[in-house]
Amino acid sequence: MSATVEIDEENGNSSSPALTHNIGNSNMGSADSANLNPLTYPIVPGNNSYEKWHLLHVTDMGTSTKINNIQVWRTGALGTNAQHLTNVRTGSYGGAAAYTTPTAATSSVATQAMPTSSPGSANLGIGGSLGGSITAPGYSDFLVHQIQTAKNALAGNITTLNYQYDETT
Amino acid sequence: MGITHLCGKCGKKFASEQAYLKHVCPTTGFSPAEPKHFELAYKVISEKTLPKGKKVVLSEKIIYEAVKKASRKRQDNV
Repeated sequence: MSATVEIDEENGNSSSPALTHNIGNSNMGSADSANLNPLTYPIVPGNNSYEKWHLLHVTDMGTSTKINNIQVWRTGALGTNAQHLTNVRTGSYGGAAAYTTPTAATSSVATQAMPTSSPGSANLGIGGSLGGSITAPGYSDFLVHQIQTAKNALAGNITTLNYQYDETT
Repeated sequence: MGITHLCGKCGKKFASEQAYLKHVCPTTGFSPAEPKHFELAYKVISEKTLPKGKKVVLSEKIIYEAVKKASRKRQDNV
């Protein structure tokens, strides 16, 4: 049996955060909330979304012995004059980002363009390293991402966030 | 204060990760350590699970994109 993996999202003040397990979407908006409704919390053109802090969470290893080589990318184009920024990268990895209260100010953690195709090698680390692996139920490093818009940004695109990993049995 | 854990399916709050992992989710009927806990979401997004003959509602945008794509293909073939 393969490993059981879910995507989690951390929200709230860093002194008393809440971790929502097995989120249903990664809707970006003007609230620090998991599974938010973008119609209720739209991003006003010229503003940023709140940062998203996601984790890949292995809840059960099944018969697998190792999970590694996590790759994250987005498919689908954003609306005009919007950018999708993240902390993931295939080189000069900054280590595991420590959770801080999500902000709608310009992120100091999500500073790289989100890849729009498979990066070809790990871009999200485990234990602070792109070469890291999960061998017992546990978490990846945080994937941090944010949408930043200009005043003339156009609303409304739906895109897909892709997570890929290797699983060794 | 420590971290609060919430189940993304049923919304229940837990004081620990272990408590979350051990709970039987009333929405899915399974615990998060069981693959079946995740099947509901997969079923919702999988077109294959749509009953035969069920009408698929497409947005104007999706139709427009499909028409554009088809037009481009046609031009390429000319």
